Amino acid sequence: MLGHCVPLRCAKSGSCVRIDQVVGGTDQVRRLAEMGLRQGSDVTVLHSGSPCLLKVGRTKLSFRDGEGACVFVRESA
Amino acid sequence: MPSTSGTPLRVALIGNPNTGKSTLFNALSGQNVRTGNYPGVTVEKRIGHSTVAGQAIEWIDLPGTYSLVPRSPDEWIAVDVLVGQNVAHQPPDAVLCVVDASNLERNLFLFTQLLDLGRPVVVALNMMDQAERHGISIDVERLSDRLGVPVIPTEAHRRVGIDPLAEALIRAAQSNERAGVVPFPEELENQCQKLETALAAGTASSSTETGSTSQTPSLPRFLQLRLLLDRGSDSLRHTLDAKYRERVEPLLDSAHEAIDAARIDRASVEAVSRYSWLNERLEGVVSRGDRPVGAQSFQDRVDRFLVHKVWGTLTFVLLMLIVFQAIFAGAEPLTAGIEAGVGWIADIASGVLPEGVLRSLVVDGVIAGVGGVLVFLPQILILFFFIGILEDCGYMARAAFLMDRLMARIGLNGKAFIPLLSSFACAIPGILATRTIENRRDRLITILVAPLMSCSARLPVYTLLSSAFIPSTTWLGGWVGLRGLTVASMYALGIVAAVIVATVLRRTMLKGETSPFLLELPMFKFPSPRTVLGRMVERGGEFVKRAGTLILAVTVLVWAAASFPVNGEAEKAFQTRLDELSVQAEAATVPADQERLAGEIDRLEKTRQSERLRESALGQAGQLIAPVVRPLGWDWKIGCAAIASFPAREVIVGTLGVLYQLGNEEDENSQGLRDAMRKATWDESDQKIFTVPVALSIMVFFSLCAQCASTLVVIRRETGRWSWAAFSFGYMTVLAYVAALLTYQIGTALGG
Repeated sequence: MLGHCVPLRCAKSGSCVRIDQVVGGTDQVRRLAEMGLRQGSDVTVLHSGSPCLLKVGRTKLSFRDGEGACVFVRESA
Repeated sequence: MPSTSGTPLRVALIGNPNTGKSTLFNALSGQNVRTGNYPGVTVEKRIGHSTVAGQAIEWIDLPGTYSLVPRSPDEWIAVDVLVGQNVAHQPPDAVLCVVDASNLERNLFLFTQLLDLGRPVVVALNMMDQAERHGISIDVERLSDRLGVPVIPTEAHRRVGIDPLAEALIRAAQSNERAGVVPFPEELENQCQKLETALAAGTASSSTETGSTSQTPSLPRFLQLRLLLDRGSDSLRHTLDAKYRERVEPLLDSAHEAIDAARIDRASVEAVSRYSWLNERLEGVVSRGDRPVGAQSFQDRVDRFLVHKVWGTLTFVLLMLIVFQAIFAGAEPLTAGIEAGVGWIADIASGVLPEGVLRSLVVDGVIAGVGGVLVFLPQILILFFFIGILEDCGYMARAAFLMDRLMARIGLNGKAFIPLLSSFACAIPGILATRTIENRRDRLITILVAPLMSCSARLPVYTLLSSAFIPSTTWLGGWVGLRGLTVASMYALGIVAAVIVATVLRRTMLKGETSPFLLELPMFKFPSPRTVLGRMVERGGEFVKRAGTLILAVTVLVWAAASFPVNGEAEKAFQTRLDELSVQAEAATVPADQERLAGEIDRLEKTRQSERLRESALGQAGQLIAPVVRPLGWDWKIGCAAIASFPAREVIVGTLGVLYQLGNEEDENSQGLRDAMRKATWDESDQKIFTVPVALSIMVFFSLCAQCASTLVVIRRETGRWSWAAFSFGYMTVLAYVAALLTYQIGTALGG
């Protein structure tokens, strides 16, 4: 069961979310997609805020949400 | 093109950052390049050679990259080599794609791009042992089948799988088979076809014009896709020959329109197509064990703690304080040992050599100068021991994360923090590491502030002065001490100065948007003793080498300038008076008289020494400098030592050694520089030169000043202009002077 669509920075630290949409400049959207952050990816939010720390698969990524691109997520159960 | 055994096979190594590429390169080529557990250790391509089964191979190690869509200077290097623009304008015979077995899907994204280059590709499935430990198992044979290329499991650090890998590469390079490529949506494929046709028509005519014999290679699919997907990107101008561009550019507008009309999103189509292809291929190849997706491991919890605003920052600060205190506490016995050793050698030299110029050169010049610097070797080793551990275990990237908040405020991103962190070891690798920064202005700001980070060459200056003049108070059971704190605050001063300078530059000369920040945090691992010790030995060796060359040369020059010319008349007058006194002393019978005369001889000897120094070339120059450095609380000797240190800052320890120990021959047991400095007084008074504010003002000056010729040369090379090197020299020197002035003046006003 998925929750409401919220900006990534609103997701709680420690929660598991699914990426709903990544909007923003071509370059950053593409860069995030290359690193595995694209529509439908399941990620764990290890640290919420700016910068945030996400776990995508076995990778830990850190970036500033809203800078170049905004990530919208839905909380998964 | 198949290669004969005479010409070496050229193999390029590429992969995501932190996949153990450089370790694999070392194993394959028998070289020993530095590796680290954070992104951006390799920023230049490196070349190594070896022979496998009679076949000579040239290995090209490329900077790590997540994608072949290049954005930063280090990624450009990789693309240039692979496409064949850079090395002899020939693409490599085979490409070795190094992937981290525990993160296969993300790592193979780059692999799918490599397929589009049309070169033979072999995959090295590295870090298999780690993947297995994490409960991931991979069906290697099936993977190789699905991807259509050889896949060789390796464990680079234990040299497992190296020979099979090299053999697979030789076979691949000699075969004409190519794996299939990732299909893109239909309209995009159509447009690729169109480009191909147009170029084929063009090259056919141009090759007859130029009379070249072999067919000109057509544009690789990779470049076709770049043309179609990256509008107006620099990548085109960079990778495409002018003659191609003329032919291709007119086609692009209509191609872009057609792609847009087919509702293909040019930003995401590549990632979507490649990842869904990979998803299909990896089905049933990788099994992840029982751990549910999203479950937090122990590592995750450690990470949450380390990046926490309060706990993470506290950990960082505490860690730094412990490192600096350890540098003092741990080095003390070793330093004392070396000091005693240097004193012992000086004594022997004084005994063997006849009194005169030669003895002075050896004892006061070479031994006092170089020995004075070598005393700091244990501290350099301890510093690099800690830097090695922090780098190799993966902590550096966490520190970069913590600092991103601060970096954001000054208009840089956390990525810039990694070059700055490297600059704590030495500004030169730090400046080279800025190549991972995409944005030119961000990169320039980082280059300009990197030399403000206290490099290891400043450590001798800090420790010399603080161990001589700062009380050795400690708290918390000896873990945190006042001296460690003083040194730590010098490091902090460099950071604060960098923050201010970066902010000012961002608001004035280098205005612009901050580029988006995206950083991968590597997994924690137990630091490899080989890497850590290797780093210590390498840097320790460099330190000793510098002491034996540059520092030796400068200290000998300073010794010469401080010893000549000799004023013969004054010398003669002193000698006559001394002779008179010693005759009187011998004749004296009353103990009180003997004592008085001995004291007088002593004083006269001291006056003669200081007169000699004042009359020397350096002394005369010193008189000119004195008024400039007096407001900083320095005497002319410190001023001269500071100026002599502009080529390399550790020189000051040697020059202070020469200047304060010169002519202390009457001391039976040669004492260390620290004692000589503690005893130093202003001419004709008993007032000590070195007080706490003076020591601090010297430290502050050295923490901020641009005293390193090599750094300036590297700045010139990396920015392409002497003016940036001159700018960084100018601003740092002014900053250092003003800050040292404030330190001394405020320190004295507070009654230091």
